[in-house]
Amino acid sequence: MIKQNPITILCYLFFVIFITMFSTNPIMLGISFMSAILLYCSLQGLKKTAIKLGYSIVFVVIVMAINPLFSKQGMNVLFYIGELVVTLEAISYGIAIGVMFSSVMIWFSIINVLLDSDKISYIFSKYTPKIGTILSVSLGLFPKYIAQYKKIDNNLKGLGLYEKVNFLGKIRLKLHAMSTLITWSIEGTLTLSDSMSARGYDLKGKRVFLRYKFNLSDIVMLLLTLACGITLLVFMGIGSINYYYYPTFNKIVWDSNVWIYFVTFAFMNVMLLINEWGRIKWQFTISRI
Amino acid sequence: MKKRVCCIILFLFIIASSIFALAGCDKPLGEKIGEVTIAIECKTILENDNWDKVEQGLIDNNIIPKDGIILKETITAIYNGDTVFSVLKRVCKDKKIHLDSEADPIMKTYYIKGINHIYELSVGESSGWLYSVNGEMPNIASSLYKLTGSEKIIFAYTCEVGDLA
Repeated sequence: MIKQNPITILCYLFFVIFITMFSTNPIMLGISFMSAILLYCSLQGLKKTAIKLGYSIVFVVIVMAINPLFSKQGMNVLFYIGELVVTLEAISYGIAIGVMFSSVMIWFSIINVLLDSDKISYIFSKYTPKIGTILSVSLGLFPKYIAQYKKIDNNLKGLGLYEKVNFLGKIRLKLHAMSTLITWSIEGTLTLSDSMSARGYDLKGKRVFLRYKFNLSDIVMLLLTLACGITLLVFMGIGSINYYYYPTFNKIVWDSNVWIYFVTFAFMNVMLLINEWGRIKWQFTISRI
Repeated sequence: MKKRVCCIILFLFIIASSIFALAGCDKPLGEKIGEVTIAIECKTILENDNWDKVEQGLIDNNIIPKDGIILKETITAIYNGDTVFSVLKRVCKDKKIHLDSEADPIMKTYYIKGINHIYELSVGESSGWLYSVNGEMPNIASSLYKLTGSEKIIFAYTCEVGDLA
């Protein structure tokens, strides 16, 4: 796993996701998507990355197909379906938005991997311990619930109930499993709160053991992140790199502003990857062994 | 289970797209009842205050005509049951002017979003397309205004409230 301090990682991912969310420039989206995929690959392996990539491609295709239904803007008309105009601009805008959404989703799943409940409670424990506890407990509940739901569902399957009923009955059974899960979770919460108070969570001077330290590399990375992020935000605020799709595509003028912007963004995106290059190589060679 | 969900989604998608496609099919024209003049203009954009607010995409692609006239006064025939909107649509189709409108299925009206790639909200926050008949701006949708003949229709782009009066 990545050795950086959780605060550095949180800051870095916050900037990357924030800037990706507000950009429509195809080159920037491409950079963000590629680096998100590579980072995810280094963390989770080739197989999971392939699944992620497949889902994002499906998502992009769906958005690409839906956008022309609602947007008739654009100068390059491809074809007509009845009265419906399908333009090249609308399709490209759909692709851009799809790539943006899926790269943000991949970045968020990277957050999920990099910052487990331990690290989250570390980040918040010093200043707002309550929020930290709430976040780490509630985030920890999701995987627990999903696992328990699968168990309940498998039990129903094992009893052979699914084979006797029709489509509606199956939905009813799923709801039944859901209500069982909720009953189970209420019981679990009581146990959890009991055990937490037994460990002294409601005492006043309770502190969390801090395992992570700020090394030189953390400081350097934090400073680089802040420098890159603030530069990018300033450029976004000026609006010199705005990109529009309608009425037709923006021609990118390659002046110094745009170069600075792209290079900064690319550097920011690959910052974690440089650390992780060995792991990526390992992920690609692992299948041959 | 998964297959069935996929099938349902695909089916809904096909239905939705076919509704979209069929919704705007042309009805056959009735008998001819007269003639009207129609003009489309966007002179308000050319005023200095407004020109600064124009979206970059419109300027880069030279979409706004220099004299502010997209369609000069044109005489066109109208048929039984014609409305201002249907005349605009027919004229735009003839002259190959881009027209983007959105149907409101509940009110059974059309909203004109953009003509000649100049869209609502492209020049400031209160910009959009308005129309006038014989110098007056009616208070109903253009697709509800029935024409009787020899009217003078002007579609004009507004940048601020009241700048067309």
